[in-house]
Amino acid sequence: MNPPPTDRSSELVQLMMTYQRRIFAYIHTLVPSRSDAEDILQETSLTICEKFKDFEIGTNFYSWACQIAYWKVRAARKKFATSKVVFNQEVVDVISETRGGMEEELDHRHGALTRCLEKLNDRDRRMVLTRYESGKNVTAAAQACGRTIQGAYKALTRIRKALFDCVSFEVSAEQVR
Amino acid sequence: MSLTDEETLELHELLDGLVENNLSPSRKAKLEKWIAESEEVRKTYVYFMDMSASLVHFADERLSDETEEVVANSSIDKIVMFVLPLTLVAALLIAGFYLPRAWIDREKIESDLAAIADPSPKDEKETVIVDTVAVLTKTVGVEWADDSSLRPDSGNTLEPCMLKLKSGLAQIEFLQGSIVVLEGPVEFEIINPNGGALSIGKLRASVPEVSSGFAIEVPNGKVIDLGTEFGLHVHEGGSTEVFVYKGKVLYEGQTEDDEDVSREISGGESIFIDPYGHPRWVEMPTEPFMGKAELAYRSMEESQRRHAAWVDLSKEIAQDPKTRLYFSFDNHSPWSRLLRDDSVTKESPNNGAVIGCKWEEGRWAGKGALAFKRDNDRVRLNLPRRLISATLAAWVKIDALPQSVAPIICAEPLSSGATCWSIDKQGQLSLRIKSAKGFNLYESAVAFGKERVGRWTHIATTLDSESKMISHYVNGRSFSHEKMSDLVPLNFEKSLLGHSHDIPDQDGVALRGSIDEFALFEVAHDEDSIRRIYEVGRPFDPSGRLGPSLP
Repeated sequence: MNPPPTDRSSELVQLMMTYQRRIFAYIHTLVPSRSDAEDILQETSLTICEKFKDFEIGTNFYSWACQIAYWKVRAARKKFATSKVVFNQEVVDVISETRGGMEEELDHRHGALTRCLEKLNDRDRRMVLTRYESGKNVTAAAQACGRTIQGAYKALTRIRKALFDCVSFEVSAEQVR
Repeated sequence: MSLTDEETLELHELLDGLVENNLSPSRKAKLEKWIAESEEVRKTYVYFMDMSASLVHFADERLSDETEEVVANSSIDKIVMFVLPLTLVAALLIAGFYLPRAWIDREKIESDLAAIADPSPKDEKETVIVDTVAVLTKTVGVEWADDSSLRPDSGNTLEPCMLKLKSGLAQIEFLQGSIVVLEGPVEFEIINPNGGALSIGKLRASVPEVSSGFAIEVPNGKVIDLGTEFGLHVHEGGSTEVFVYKGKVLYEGQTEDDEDVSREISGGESIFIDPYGHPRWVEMPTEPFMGKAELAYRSMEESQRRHAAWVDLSKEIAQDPKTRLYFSFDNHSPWSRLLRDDSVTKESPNNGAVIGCKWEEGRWAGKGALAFKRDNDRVRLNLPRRLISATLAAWVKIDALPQSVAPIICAEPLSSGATCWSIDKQGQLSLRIKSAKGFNLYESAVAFGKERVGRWTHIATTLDSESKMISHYVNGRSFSHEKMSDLVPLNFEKSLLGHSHDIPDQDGVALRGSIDEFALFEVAHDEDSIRRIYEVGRPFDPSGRLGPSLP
């Protein structure tokens, strides 16, 4: 029988610290709006806390957490109905299924992104990371880097494409080493 | 086929627009269609969004690295994010009405906690419909009185009406903000959005300041709230007790001599009004009234207790040597195409291949179920060993009464003993077995009507080779016993869950509904065992008692 939740809180914290980025990434893939994805992550984490007594240590925590997250996303669809970036449920399902077979590759890509960020010049790196800071938007990134907003949009498009291509190259290079 | 350079550029433009939230509806529709149709686009989309999530992570890390202080706070925040809920979750669930939305936002969490301490039913106000004066927001173990004509479910809106509870707890939120918890046995009339009448039984009211003026009529007068929390108890015979926990209430009434009486009662004070309308001060009662927090806590506790009991039973079934096949449908990934056989006593499991069906939520939050919505949805199985005696048991939810048949598990009718277990269009549970002489059909009494549509229902059928009896059960109750005309071992070789190729005069029939547990035993369980499987597995749904009584 599982010990009571209070005895397992350290295990829970450890698992969440290990997997929170990946769980957020899973949710963000299904819910492109970052703030919506963060809301769902928060709700998911609460349910994980609540249900953790039912989780068997040694089984796949990430898979279990994603199952909870998936249902949170489904439940949240009505709430996000007015969002510009909500996909229909069938598309969400097929994305979830596709992502399920890509996890190992995505881990490699995350590692590769670290190296690709280092290859950016300081200004571009500052711009893209400012854009992704909590509560920041393109305007904030433009101000931080002394660009116009229009210029910042263009620069971010270019930087994201450069990073995407760099990561793809790094991962394929890893495979041939 | 690979994307051309132009298509790749266009896709990246669309993805950029997506993360910046500035896609036009037509461009969003184009991207959505493209993702649905092309695996390469889908993969590129996943790479892109995962990169976006990684950039969020690195941006937060960079922010943390900028000052040591922020590093410390960030670490704490990360722990707060998941540990605070751990400690708060009990409080949140006990309060039961609110879950915080913000991520790593202390101020938000603190304000959330304040909101828990002082819940305000603003949302219900916004969704008010004409004539609705209250909402039944929670029930625990409710049993309605036999003569109660109204038996609402939790979540139902309420017009002015009379509620009669034989037992249990019901929480009502009035549209002007007051919350009342009724404790059965009780008779309470909802009169308007800011008041009601208690004719017998107990209630506890929590009235925010905005709802001041909330009034409850009692046999000899009425209790008018002045912004407070109070309890009322109307006894048989017409005497009334008023207990004020905090704030003030005003009692106004008349004695049998038509003398007007009034009392202002403050927090910690209590009055007793005798059947003739004479009030007198009494000591604060020691017997507590149910508050909303306790109600929510009981609800959560009962739900968790039921789920834990089912988990234990599920393990027991999985480890039972007589279990031939057991699908708990639990702990599967949403994308899993394999239905795991959880029985552990065999050398090799009989996992099923999921075709078409989608995963959905089962009887409990977090529990999986498979939904059979389309003609080709099915789970393919292969069970080579035949069964002399057997029990088939499943939790199913049908979307509609079947036009012909709703197959649960059916084998291809290739050889003697090939069996099809289904619900027919009359709502009968049916077992059809192929024999050398043709097909033998064993049907239950009518068990499925409109009232079972959309509800999780437990079905079971047993074949006892010793007594040569076939018995059908629905929600743990026997629906028929029938002598077998021809004793043939059951055969589920090459069988399908939720689909049948083998219905006479039909090309193929698909289940329209969901399954969230299925077990096949090599023994005929008796009625007590079937009843236990049902009782333990029954989802927590106090309002489920409102269903029709079974024979």
